[in-house]
Amino acid sequence: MLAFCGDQLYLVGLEQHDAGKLELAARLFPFERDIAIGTGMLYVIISTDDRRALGAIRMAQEFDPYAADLLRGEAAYAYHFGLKPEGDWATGRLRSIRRK
Amino acid sequence: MTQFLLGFLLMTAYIPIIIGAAIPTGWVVLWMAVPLMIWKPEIPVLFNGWGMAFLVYAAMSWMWAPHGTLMLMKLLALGCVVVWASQQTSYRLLLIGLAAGLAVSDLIALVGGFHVYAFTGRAAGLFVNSNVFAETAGMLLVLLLLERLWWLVPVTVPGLMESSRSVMIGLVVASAVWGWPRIRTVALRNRWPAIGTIIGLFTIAGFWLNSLLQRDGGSSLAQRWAMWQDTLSGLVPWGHGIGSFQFLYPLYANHIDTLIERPVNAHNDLFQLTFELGIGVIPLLVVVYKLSRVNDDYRCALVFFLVIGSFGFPLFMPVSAFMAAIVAGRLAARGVELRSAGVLRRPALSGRLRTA
Repeated sequence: MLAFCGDQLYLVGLEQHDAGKLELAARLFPFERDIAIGTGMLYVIISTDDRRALGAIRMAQEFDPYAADLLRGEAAYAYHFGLKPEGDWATGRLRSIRRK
Repeated sequence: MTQFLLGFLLMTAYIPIIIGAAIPTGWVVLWMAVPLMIWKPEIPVLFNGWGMAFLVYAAMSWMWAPHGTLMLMKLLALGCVVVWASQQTSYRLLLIGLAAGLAVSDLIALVGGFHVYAFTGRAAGLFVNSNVFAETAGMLLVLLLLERLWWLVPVTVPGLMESSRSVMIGLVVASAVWGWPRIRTVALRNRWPAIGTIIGLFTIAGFWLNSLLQRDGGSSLAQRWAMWQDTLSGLVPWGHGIGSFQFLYPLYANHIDTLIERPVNAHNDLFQLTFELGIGVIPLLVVVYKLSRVNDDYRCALVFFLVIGSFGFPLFMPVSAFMAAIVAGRLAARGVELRSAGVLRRPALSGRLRTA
C-alpha cells in the first residue's frame, strides 16, 4: 500500500513540479530508485534559482552516487551558483570517476 | 474466482501515465496477494532445499547491497507464488484471468496506444515496452496451449505480432522440447541435425527480416552485447548484493554512456543475477536443472522463459516472472508426485530398506 501511495505521489509531484510531494513519496517508499531520487531529479529536469536544488541533488546522489545525470545536474547548479564543483567534471562521464 | 481476479489484476494493474510512474504496479498487486497465497503453505520438496538456499543467500546479500530491499521483496513474492502454485490443482481460471487482462492490452495496442518506441511504431498496450508485451504474450501462449485453452489463443496474437526475436526463438525451442519426445519415427530422429540446421537457418532468416522490419539495423543486438560485456566485467565471487545492478552498472559501463541511457536490467537474467549474487546463483541453477528434468509438459514453458530471459529481463517484470513462478511451482509439485509414485513402484528398493 505504501508502494502504491508513494508511486502516486511521485507521479503527481513530478507532473506539478512539486518538490514537497516528491519528498513525501520518498519518505513513504524509499526503496525504488526513481522515487528515492525524485526530488533531486526534478531539479535536474527543471532549472531554478532555488539554492535548495543543489542540496536536493546531493541528497539524491547519496542514494545513487554513480548517476551521471545527477552528477551533471550538480555541476550545472554549482556553476550557476558560482560554487566550485566537488567532482571530476572533465567529461561529465562516469568513467572519469573511476579514474580518480 | 480468486485465480481469475489475480490474473486479470496482474495484467491490468499497470496503466501508463495514470498508475505506476516508478514501480510496475503488478508487483504491488503481487505483494498484496502474497498473504492470501501463503495462508497454509506446504513447501514442495524439490523447492525447499536449493530454492530456499537461493532465497537465503539473496536475503543475506541484502546486507552488502547498496539498495536491495525492493528486489528482495520481489524475489520473496515470487518464492511465495511458487509455493502457492505447487498447491493448486488447476491453473485454468488463472490463465483465463491473465488472458482477459492481456485482451485489454490488445485493444489498446490495436488503436496504437502507449508505445514507448515511437520511431518504430510498435504498439505495446499496457506494457509500454513492445518486447515485454511480446514476451508476456508468448509465455501466456505456451501456458494456454499446455492447458488446452485453444479458444483463448487469439488473445496472444497482437503481442506476438510485435515480432520480438527472443520470443520467436523461444517458441521454436519450446516447440522442439515439446515435440522431440513425441517423434516416434527413428528415421526422423536420426535426421535431427539436418532438421535442426533448417530450423536454425529459418530463425536467422527471421532475424534478418525482423531487423529490416524494425529498421534498427541490429542496433538493439549491439546494445545488448555492450551491456553484457559491461555486466560480465563487473562480476565478483560473492556478488554485489541483491538489486545492485541498477546502481553499480555505471561503474562498469565502458561500452554504454550512462548519461544518455541508464540500463536498469542487463537484458540477460542470468548475467544480472550473477552480477548481483555471484556464487549465490548456483542454488537457483540447481533448481532450474532439477525442474527441467521433471517429466511434464510444463518444461516447455520453463524453456521458453529461459530463452526469453537470455535476451530480455522477464524475471524482473511482474507478469512474466509470476507466470514463470507458476511454472516452477507446477513442476516442483509434479516432481514430488512423480518421485513418490516412483518410490511406491519400486518393491525391490523397499525390500532392501526393510532388510537393512
